[in-house]
Amino acid sequence: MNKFILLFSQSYTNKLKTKSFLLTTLLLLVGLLCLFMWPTISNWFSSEGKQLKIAISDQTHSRTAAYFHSTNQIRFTSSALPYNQEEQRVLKGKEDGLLILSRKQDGSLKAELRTQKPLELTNQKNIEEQVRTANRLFTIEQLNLNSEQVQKIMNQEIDLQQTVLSKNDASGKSSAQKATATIVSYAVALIIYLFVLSYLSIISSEIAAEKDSRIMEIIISSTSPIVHLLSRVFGTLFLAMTQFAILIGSALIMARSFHNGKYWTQISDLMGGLTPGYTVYAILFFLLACLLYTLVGAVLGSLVNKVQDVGQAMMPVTMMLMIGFFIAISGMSNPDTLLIKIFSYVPFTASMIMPMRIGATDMALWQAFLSLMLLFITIIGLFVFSLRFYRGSVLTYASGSFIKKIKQAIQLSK
Amino acid sequence: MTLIVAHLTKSFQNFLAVDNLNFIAEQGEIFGLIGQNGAGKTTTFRMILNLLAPSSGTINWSGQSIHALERDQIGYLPEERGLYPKMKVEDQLLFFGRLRGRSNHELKHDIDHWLERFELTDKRRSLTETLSKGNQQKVQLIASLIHKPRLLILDEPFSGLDPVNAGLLKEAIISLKQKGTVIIFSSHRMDHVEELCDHICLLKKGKSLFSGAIIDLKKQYGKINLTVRGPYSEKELRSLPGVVEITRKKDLFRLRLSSEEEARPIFQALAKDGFIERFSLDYLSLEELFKRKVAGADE
Repeated sequence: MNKFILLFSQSYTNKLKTKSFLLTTLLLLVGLLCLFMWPTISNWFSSEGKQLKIAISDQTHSRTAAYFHSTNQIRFTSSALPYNQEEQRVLKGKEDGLLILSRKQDGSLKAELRTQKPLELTNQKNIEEQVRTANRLFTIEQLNLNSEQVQKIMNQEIDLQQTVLSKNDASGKSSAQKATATIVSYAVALIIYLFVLSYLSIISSEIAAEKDSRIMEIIISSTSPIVHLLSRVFGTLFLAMTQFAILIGSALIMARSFHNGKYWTQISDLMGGLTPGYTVYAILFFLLACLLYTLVGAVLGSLVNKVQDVGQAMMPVTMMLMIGFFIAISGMSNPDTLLIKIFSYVPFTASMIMPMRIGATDMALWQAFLSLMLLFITIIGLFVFSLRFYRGSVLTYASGSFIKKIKQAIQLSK
Repeated sequence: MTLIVAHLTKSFQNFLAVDNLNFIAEQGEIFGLIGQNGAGKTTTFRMILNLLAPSSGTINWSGQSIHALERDQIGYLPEERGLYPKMKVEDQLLFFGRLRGRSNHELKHDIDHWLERFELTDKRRSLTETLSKGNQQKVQLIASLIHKPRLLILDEPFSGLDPVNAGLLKEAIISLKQKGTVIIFSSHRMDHVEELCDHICLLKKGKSLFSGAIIDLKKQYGKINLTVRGPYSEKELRSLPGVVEITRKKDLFRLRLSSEEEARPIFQALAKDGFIERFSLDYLSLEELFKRKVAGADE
């Protein structure tokens, strides 16, 4: 036990002190800071003077121009000048654009935008959106409805009430709940993806370096290979959790401190929308995914001969991870596909996909439990299997395929 | 305390790495395991270290299985540099010492002692990767013995050391031997082996060609190395009976005799010509013996 603690703390503190760890943590913190300060930062770059000035020449003989609302980015003014004069003003740069509104034969709105320079995409979209709304209002107005009727049409919204009749099935979640869970699940998948990607190579390189330099032989001759394997796995996991805790902690502090806690409220609203069951499953899947991939990294690291070979050995695992991540992304739009169902049981991708299914679809929880168990059994299986050849694999320096190496390692471990 | 290796065999799928190896290494002596690359030295060490399980045979320590010897009582210097490049020398030694069950407090004093002994005191806080090869080798050696092991295994301890440092290392090994540590080491450098070891085991492709005291090995061939200096021509010397081979090095002639008995008549023959500046008869050097043994095994 003492040797485990020694090896664990040595692995953990050594990696904690590396420049790469400190630098990535710092960069991620700066990234977070930028994220939370984004409104302020974007204000620095888009000053008030850059507000787009659009003059509206209204030829509909109705108060259509009033449907356009000025925003921070665009200021609409109704122009009384004839539009050819207004065009001259645009050319001279006094206005950024001229919007000519007229009435079509069918009673809908015709809109034409004349600008000196092409517009930016966001402004284009903004104006298009406003024109679309104006068109709708204009058309309604042509139907001679009174303002109350107009309001009613415009503000009409309906909630679809759902009841599941079969008593055995899980209770239906509202679309809002599902949307929240989708966002959170996406975040979980992204975090797993990023963390595994960086920590997988950390542990593999560490073990490959120890093997390459023969330190491994000294270590496993003074303690057992199991202790070494576990100390490296947990050292790396703790490092990952340390970085995770630093980032989450800082994010929460930033959320509270900036913009009068606007983001804090958003985050707590988001979290409030999650069921406790979902949260527990998401955390379990996250932890087990980290454990699984760290173990895989350790095993791969023990099989390669040189640190330089780690990248190559990592390829299949990285591919697996990417498949999981991209399937999780595909689930953002539709989490009910067969592909997602299948991969939510595959241990290597389950942790990125299953949380989404739990939160964003109406499935029975036993399915999540089954997937979690599969993941857990895989970890135990991999651990037991790796113990069979770990001692041998750190002593083999033969070249060849992984299968060949594993066979040789098992032979050596006997 | 004695290490007894008996009928030790290790076979891998398609080859025999160690084949029926027998030797005894006793307290207060240094045992040399000699062989070319791939002779099975490292495999033997790994079996003693319990990193590999023997296919058959036994390794005993003081009458018990080697597994009964606590791992903390063993010191091991691997053939290649096994150090953390980004760690300071002192931290490195503390780590390896603690790995073998010693406390920080106990180690501090010993680290001071050994760093001073190996002239590394000024490198104490340097990163290991900044050290020269020889200095790294010295750190590695300290790391292998800092916990005062009872059994010390040194795989090629002299590689990368200049003569001065090799001398320091030899002194250290001898002082450990005097303190009662059982030391086994392997080397390609026969001069080091000859100087340090009392007993050796010659390995070739896993087989033991000889195991026992160096002097016994030497006696097998007798004193057949003759060095002569005097007013003789190479032709004249070659014509003497019993001379198998002759080489000239500056003013010295080195003669290889067919047997020790030939020396006396040669001396008498040379003495006829008058004064002999030098006439010395020796055993074959370990290097020559090794080459003969290995060549003999090939035949």
